[in-house]
Amino acid sequence: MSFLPFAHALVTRQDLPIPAWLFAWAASIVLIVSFFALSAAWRTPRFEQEHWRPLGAALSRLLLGGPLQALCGLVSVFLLGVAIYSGLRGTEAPDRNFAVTFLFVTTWLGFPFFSALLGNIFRPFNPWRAVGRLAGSTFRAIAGQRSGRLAYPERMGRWPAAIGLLAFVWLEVVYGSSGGVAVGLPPHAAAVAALLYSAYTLAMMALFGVEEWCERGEIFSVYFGMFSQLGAFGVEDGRLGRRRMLSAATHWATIPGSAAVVIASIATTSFDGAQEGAFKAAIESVFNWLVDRGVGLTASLRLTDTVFLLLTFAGVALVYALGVRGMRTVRGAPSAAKLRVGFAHTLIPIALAYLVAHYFSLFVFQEQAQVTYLLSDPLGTASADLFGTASGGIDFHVLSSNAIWYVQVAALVVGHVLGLTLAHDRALVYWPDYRQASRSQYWMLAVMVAFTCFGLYLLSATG
Amino acid sequence: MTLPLAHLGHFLWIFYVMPVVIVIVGILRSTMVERRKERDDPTAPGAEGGPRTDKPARPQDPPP
Repeated sequence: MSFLPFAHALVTRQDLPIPAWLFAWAASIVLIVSFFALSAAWRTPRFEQEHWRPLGAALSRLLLGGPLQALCGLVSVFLLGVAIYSGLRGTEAPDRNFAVTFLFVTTWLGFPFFSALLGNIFRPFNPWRAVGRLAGSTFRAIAGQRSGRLAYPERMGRWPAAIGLLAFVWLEVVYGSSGGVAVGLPPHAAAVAALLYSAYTLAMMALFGVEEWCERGEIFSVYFGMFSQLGAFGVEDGRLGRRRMLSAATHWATIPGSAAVVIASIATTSFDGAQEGAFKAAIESVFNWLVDRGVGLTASLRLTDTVFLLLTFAGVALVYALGVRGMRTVRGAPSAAKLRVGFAHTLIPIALAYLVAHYFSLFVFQEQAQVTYLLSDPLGTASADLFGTASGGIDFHVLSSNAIWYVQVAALVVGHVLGLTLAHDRALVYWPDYRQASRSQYWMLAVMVAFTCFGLYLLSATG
Repeated sequence: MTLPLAHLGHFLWIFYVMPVVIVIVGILRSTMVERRKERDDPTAPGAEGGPRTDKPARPQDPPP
């Protein structure tokens, strides 16, 4: 292939045995084969019941007990404090400052990965929940009664978290990419945003209650909690237990706005991947158009990126809506609203797959920085070497470009097959006749193939 | 002679869209075939008025 004059070639992995687009075809074939295998062999719903079994009482007491919860809360508040202090007082170079990597890599990417494996581990490590609970306990001790609170509006559901999720990613990939530094969000802006978010979250917790806000409105609790629904570990009635994998997800999306959260997750990851690849030419066109009309450079860039971020959200929502509309055409289908809510959880494995595919290499590389020089010199001013690792660096040879590609393809295929499985299982609840259920899933198959090919295209275009 | 393929990379997205198009065409075609079958034979499984379980449709009794 090297003799072909690809002036603006998107093929950057020339050491792959086959062209990147053939992986999209192979992934589509895997999905189609999985679809027929499910149609033939999966005739009763299996995920509606969690089959929850408690783990040892001693283990539950240890992991869910007050002392460990308090310790986790203390650690998380301390680390949040370090991040804010580093952001405010440290270097303005994002890659040398503890704040940006800690907030946008370690926390933002680490918790989804580990929540899917281990359950909702963010709950004890949520710094705002820890502060909110401490404040509530103190108030009770002093006043002798619980503080009054408002009833959370049912219709608001998880919409605050969905909007917050878009805002958080906007801060990183739109505001950050055009904020005057070469790459990434200025640490000072990250610290100010963390302070503002802390004040907002604590105020909402005071208004609606700590647990209520964490369940519905707090961005990170909702987002990380969503991924924890896929895993085999969960807490029920104050006890730690094991359940059938994926089963908890079937009940997650019943709260209004849940579909928006999972769609926002896929859309924000897609936009981040497409910004420098698939959407680059279109973004440049709109940007130039705005600049030609006298809009300032920074404003034009932010406006263009914001529009494309929202368009990506609308595009992902539209693909899902088309899948739902397709299901509605099958006889015996419930209402469109019920289908929209009923199948939203099938997008959670896809959201995780997109996250792994797009960011796992970043996570592997940046975590080396996090546990070496960023931890030893949080401010990035070469003024401290707390653990003797300030001179450490990132070994980029840990992962080869081929290994990254294969992990990306595997993540996307596995995520979409799991999504297809969840969708088929839910269809069997709505259509007792398994043939009708399978027929209803033709359209979800199209949705899954579309998301898979789109994801692989974004990755191949980014290079 | 060098082939004029300088901008071929811009059209690679077509290869990623093709599987989606093939699946959608397959779905539309099979949906139309099934609808036609239901129209022609309303007692077929899954058809309106036909059996709704996963048991195969029983043949109609011959008229007396």
